[in-house]
Amino acid sequence: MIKFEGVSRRFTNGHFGLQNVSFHIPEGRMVFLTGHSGSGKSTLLRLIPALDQPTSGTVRVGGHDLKRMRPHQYPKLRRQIGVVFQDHHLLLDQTVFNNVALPLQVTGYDPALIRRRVEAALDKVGLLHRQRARSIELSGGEQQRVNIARALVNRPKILLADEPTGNLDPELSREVFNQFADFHAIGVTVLIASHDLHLLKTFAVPRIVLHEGQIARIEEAY
Amino acid sequence: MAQSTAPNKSTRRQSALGAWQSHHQHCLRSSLWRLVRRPLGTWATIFAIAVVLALPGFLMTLASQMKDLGGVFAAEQGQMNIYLKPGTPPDSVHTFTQWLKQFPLIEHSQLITPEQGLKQLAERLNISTLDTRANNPLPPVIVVQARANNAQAYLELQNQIQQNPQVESIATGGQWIERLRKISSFFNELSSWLLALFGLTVLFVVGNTLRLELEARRQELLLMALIGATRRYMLRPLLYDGAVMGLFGGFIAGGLINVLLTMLTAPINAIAHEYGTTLSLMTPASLVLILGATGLGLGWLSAQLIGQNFLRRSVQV
Ligand SMILES: Nc1ncnc2c1ncn2[C@@H]1O[C@H](COP(=O)(O)OP(=O)(O)OP(=O)(O)O)[C@@H](O)[C@H]1O
Ligand SMILES: [Mg+2]
Repeated sequence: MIKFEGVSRRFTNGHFGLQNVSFHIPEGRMVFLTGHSGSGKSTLLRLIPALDQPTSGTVRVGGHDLKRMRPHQYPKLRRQIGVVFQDHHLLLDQTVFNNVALPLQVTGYDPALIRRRVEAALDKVGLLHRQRARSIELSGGEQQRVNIARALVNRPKILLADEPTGNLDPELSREVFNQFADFHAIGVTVLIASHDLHLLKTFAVPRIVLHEGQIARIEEAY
Repeated sequence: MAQSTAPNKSTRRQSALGAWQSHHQHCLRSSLWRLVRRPLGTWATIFAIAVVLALPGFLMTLASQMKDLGGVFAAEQGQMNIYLKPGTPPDSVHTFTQWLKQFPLIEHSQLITPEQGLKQLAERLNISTLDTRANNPLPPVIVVQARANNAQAYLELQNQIQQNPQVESIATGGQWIERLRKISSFFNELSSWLLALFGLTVLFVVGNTLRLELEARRQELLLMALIGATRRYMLRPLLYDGAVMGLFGGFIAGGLINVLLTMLTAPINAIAHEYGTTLSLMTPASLVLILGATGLGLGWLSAQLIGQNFLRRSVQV
């Protein structure tokens, strides 16, 4: 489902964010991406929905070589990928409902269908009762859960999360991970970047460990 | 798999069409709402467009009026010199004069052959011995006297004759009518250049306003790109903004021109009336419509240019 072959990303300042990274995540698998701060986790994740392009190597998603993909095909790719990224926040002046509905509206779904799906997604993250609230009125943890609902609402084949538990307490963090595991259970391919080692340890999930832009090791689930 | 309860194909297509339509409606509404919500920036832009479009529009209308006016005075005199192509054989000249007979508006016509022309010229210059066997550079000329009652019909006649392939050129009336004609075509050309130049200005004016809007919405656009919005979808609100501002600007420009023209044409028409004609003033409605359409087109184009560029550069979609 996600395949990296000798992928490097060199920034304009000469620094390598990623260097010769290769791995393969088959469809329906759940994998953690760990490593110290600055090891290249975010850089790697951004390549998958083609938010950024590698300077060399090949990234394949769902069998498609992204290098061969034309920019006008990116929307179709991105609709199959749900993302919870740190730097893509909510539209704070919009309601919770509108935020979660956005991926569906963009795709052009029928309003009735949108309503059903948004409510289902909000129910899953336990925020159905706040759907009419403006996002700015929510706590950091609640906002993060809205982010997750938005990533899931389009029923993506792939779920990417970058430090999804950054501002959650341990209990909520655990719940969020459980939700990801639920999605993994129904066949979604899940890739989560996190350095919350305590939490990761409690899941029997393989890990890709990055170090200074290179893969230090791949740990199988135990 | 996660993809369950997918609606069947035809209802999905229907609903997709509905969603597309409602997005258009939503964008139009919010563009109109912008006139109220952001009155300062929006109306400043609209008035700038209006002023910028009004000048070439005004000159263009004025130019076409002057041409009509030229026609009015030419008709009053009713005389027209038709210059055929030099070297037209006498046979063809004859055919041509026969052809002229079909026009009821022509009272009579008289042919001046190149030889006669040369003789007249020689007399006028007081040269008695002009070699008429040498290559004669003069064209055959036909002097036509038309019934002078209707400027419009006269112009029409002139046009029809002009289209005959044997005709080199036509001169009508006195010098000052020619001059008027020249001024008019100069204005016409000038206003085309101005329109092009000012069209560019409109692009910049609208573009600048929209760029500010885009900068303010950069985060939102990034997010939309991330969740799979197409370029077209992201551009749609912007295109509506540009088109609506351009449309209003064009309307107001039309209004401005109409005010100027009414002030100016009243005295001219008083004269023209005595010649049994009135100037074919563009009706206010059509002028406003044309300018509105121009504004709309320019606003839309500007939004396209700015938007595409912004998305490619800043959002990378
Ligand atoms: N646009 C850029 N230009 C130059 N260097 C960059 C750029 N983006 C990231 N880097 C560098 O690349 C390295 C990897 O960054 P990245 O954001 O992928 O790390 P990370 O593993 O996500 O860290 P964290 O856990 O803190 O989020 C860092 O050293 C960073 O400074
Ligand atoms: Mg990071």
